Amino acid sequence: MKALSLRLGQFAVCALLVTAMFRYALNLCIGKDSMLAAVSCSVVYFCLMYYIGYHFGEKDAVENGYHDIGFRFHLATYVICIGVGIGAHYIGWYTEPLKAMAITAISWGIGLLIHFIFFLFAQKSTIKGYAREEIFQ
Amino acid sequence: MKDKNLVIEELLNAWEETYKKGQLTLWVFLALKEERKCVEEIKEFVERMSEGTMSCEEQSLYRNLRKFQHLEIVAYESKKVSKGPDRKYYYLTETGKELFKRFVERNILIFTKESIINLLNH
Repeated sequence: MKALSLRLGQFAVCALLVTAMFRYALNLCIGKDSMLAAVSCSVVYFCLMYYIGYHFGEKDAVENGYHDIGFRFHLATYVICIGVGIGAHYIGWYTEPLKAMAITAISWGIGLLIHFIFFLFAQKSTIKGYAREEIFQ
Repeated sequence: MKDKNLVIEELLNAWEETYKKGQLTLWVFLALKEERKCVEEIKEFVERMSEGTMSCEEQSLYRNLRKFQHLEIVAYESKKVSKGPDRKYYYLTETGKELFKRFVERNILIFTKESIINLLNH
């Protein structure tokens, strides 16, 4: 069992690519003042992120078995989304103002912190990170 | 109305499904108690010794053994084979042996009591 597992790494790479592509596409849509295209990009981005999260998360649960109630994948998503957002801003892609990004980072960060607290509680009922009821299944 | 034998067969299957879920670990431990084994040998042991009542996928065994290894219940040593990559031979660690001993004492040996054997045989 590894906190930094292969599947988490694969998820991070895919999420990084998808998020970078989304930010670039959003930059183009806003540049052309196309609201419909921007909303469509966001919907596609959401679906892709949901799919890769589900795909790699499920494989990680089976192969790695770390009972973290999805916290590692949540943390990776947070770092990638916020990181790429800030990076896109400094590259010069216009997607959203830094202030809006800061609000997102803080509010999402609070959600992440709550998830972390639940993660710590979940860890208390595990044996070396494995859910007790799943060890001898 | 279903035939009585059919109902019993269905109930038996349902009971066995639940009963066997936790059994694989016991069979794996028995296999490793005999001697160090690779996954193919563990699978063969489980199927042969359980007289075919237990079956397991190699993938599932690998997953369980990896988990047990992280929990320091089992360990392995790599051995060279003439063809292909090194083969992992698993064995019970001291923790694994102690765990197995206590599990057997609490849950298995009770079935060797004469009063229970008598009930099972009648």
